[in-house]
Amino acid sequence: MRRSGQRRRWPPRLVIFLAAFGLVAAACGGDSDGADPGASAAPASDGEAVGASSASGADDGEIMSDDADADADDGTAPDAPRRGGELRVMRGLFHEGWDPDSALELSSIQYIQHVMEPLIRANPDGETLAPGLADSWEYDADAMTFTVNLNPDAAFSDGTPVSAEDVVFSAEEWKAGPNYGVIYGALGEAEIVDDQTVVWSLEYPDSSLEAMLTWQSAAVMPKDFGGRSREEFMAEPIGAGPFAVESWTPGAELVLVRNEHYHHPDRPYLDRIVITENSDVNQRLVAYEAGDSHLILVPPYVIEAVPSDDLTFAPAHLMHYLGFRTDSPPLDDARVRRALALAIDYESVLALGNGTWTKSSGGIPPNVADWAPPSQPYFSRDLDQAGELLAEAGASDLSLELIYDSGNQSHDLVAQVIQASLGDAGVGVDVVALDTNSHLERTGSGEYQMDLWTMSAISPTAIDPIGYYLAVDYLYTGYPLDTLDEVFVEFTETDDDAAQAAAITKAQDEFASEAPFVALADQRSAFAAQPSVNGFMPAPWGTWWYDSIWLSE
Amino acid sequence: MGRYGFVAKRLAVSVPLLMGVVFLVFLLLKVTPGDPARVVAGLRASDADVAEVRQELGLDDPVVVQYGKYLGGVVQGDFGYSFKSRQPVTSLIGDRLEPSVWLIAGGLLVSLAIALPLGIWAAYRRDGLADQLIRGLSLLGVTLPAFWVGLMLIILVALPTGWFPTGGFGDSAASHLHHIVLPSATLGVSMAPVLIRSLRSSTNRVLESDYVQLGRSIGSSGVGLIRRFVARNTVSSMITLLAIETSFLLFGMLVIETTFSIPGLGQGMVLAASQRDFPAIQGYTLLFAIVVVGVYLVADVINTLIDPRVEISG
Repeated sequence: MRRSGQRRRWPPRLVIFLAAFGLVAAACGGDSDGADPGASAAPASDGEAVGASSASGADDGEIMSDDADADADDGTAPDAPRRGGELRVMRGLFHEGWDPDSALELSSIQYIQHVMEPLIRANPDGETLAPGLADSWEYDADAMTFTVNLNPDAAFSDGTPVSAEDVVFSAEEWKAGPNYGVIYGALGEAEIVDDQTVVWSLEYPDSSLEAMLTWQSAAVMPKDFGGRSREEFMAEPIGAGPFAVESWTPGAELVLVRNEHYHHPDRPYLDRIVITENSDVNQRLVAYEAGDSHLILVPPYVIEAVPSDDLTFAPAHLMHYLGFRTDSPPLDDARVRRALALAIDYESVLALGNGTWTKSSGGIPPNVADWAPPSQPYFSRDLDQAGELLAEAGASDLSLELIYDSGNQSHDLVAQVIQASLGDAGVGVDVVALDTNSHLERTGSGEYQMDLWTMSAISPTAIDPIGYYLAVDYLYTGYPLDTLDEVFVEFTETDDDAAQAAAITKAQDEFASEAPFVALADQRSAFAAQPSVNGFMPAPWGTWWYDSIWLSE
Repeated sequence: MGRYGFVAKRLAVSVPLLMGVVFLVFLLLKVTPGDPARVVAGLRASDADVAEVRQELGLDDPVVVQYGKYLGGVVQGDFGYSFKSRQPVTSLIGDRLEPSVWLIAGGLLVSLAIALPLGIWAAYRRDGLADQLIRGLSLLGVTLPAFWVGLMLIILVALPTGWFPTGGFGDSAASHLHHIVLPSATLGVSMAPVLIRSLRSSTNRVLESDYVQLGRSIGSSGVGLIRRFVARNTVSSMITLLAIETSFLLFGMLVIETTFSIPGLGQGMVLAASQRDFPAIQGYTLLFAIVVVGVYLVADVINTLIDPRVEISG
């Protein structure tokens, strides 16, 4: 049963998700354009994660760690985490600033989470949650409440303890955010039970709330910004995360230092992190080879330049897709779109990933919790069926324009494969390479016929991408949002696994039957880490926690 | 015209020149595809939000009005705020100034260290084997792109030896020096060929002059001849060349800083352009224009002071 009030909240809500993905678009031209062949996501499989994704299990959650982390307390084991050292990282994505509500790039999201840690953290397994500043939390759909118990050791980097008042103040900031605020719309009036406990009444049931509390937009800040103005605080923020900001030169370098007051007894291990920003992948590779950088992201087309032993892979997730603008002929006909999807030579596309891309089995990036497949197999190449559909639709001598971001070097080649593939079905394709900003504008304004792009989730739930699709006009395709709207409500109003899986399958089925876009491949992000780097565990969406990393001698 | 009058007149001419540069950049940014308000508001922003941002930024005003407001701010030291980082442009420039100063200084030193001896030697051995060799090498040098030189230094020097970092700027004076060696060498090697060829030509002219012939006739030769009669008389042209070189260095800096991940003005300029950060682009452009105009002015003034043959005229 759906209440009318529920429907009204979805459209704005998507805005939040979109924010996360606008960044992914940019990321694909930068350092998230990485993936790797064959190897498995070792870090995640080594982890000792205890899930906290359900309400009742929340207080059992633990921050994921690699095997060595278990020895952290005594520090006597040969591979025990070691305190100290400076980690040098090179990235192609630029940090945008410290305002949690303005962050779009994965890099910015990640840094904000490290400085102004949220109440809850997403584990890198893509499935579970872990305590952040909250020791435990409880979602009670029946009582329509959400309770958070703070870690009594949580303290800002200036030594001030984190209090319930800080959290309530922060929550008002989250809700007021023009970009992400709508996703916290379920949070109603807050009651401060004691210094460490806050109970929110909920405006409506929202089982996705705890996942949303992992986002950077749920950053915990000191009450009244510690006596400063909002602008002053955002210029030089403090938080209770594992690291504090030492300096930031936009577009060049970010230096983070250990928060000596961090609540975890052992973490972070590193004293300092120097993140150098450089969009030139060759420069990043050279710096890595020279040992000047401990950690870089590796795009698929240069993956062979890195020793295989140094590579770490996130689970396949980053989704390359071809979007169709569905509100004008000839792509307003689902038969034409399906024909194009059936004409694509997926094997040739996958070959471009240098072994790091796998065939998509649906229109939602995999390897996150709650993912479910479509009822029927997803698209595979079938030129005969494609020809039949085109004939049935009366579409002959088709000539279409395909746009893509020239900053994503992989897409240069993917566009050519699509051009050749559709040519086999008698469809002409005019390939147009655009700079990143022009591509964003053309896509965002719907001024295209076919668009090659990339997207991913940023939290461990399959409803995350659905929210994004809703937020960005069905991945900018202009396809009617009715079904996705229903899916979103059906998913978030319950925490029943079967009901949620059914909702996700419903969305997947529409992706397969109506083909407003076609997923081409799911990429495994690849990272090169020097042998001295330990505890590096990337999540499927390509971010990681620095506080688990330590440097061996 | 007196020397002070000359300087004052040059300064007065520089002002409209700089205003023209700023206006030109303004116009170019106006015809560049894309909406800066969209950049600020974000891709997800509604049309109403974008319109609001456009109004806040004064982008609805006529270009001339926007230009006037910008100039008014510049006069007061306000270059506006970056669309991307929301930081004052003056702060962005200030943060990036030091690495660029190190790089330009290093590049100038290296290019002079290469060009001075080789240029003069080639002229002194005119049409000889050394001259032919130096001219050939400098011709080759002119054809080598700076980014390629930088990459070769990284691959052939930094990687095998580990003596120098492949990028960055370090966090202390000693570390700056260590980090700046290869970028300076790249900049110097890229700039030296032009300097060598120009210096050779001007030295040749001096060598053919009457006073050098006189010097030879009284028995001066070799280093003594160069020191007493040649070097002094090529200083003026050298200063002019250095002024030109400095201008080129500024733009070579764009490539070198990007290649070596140096957080300087050149890298900032490239970043601002790629992000369509119009206030930052305008700030960097204006700064570069001021530096170029200033360097030429200083060169002219120095020439008038050290060389009595240089006439001060309008």
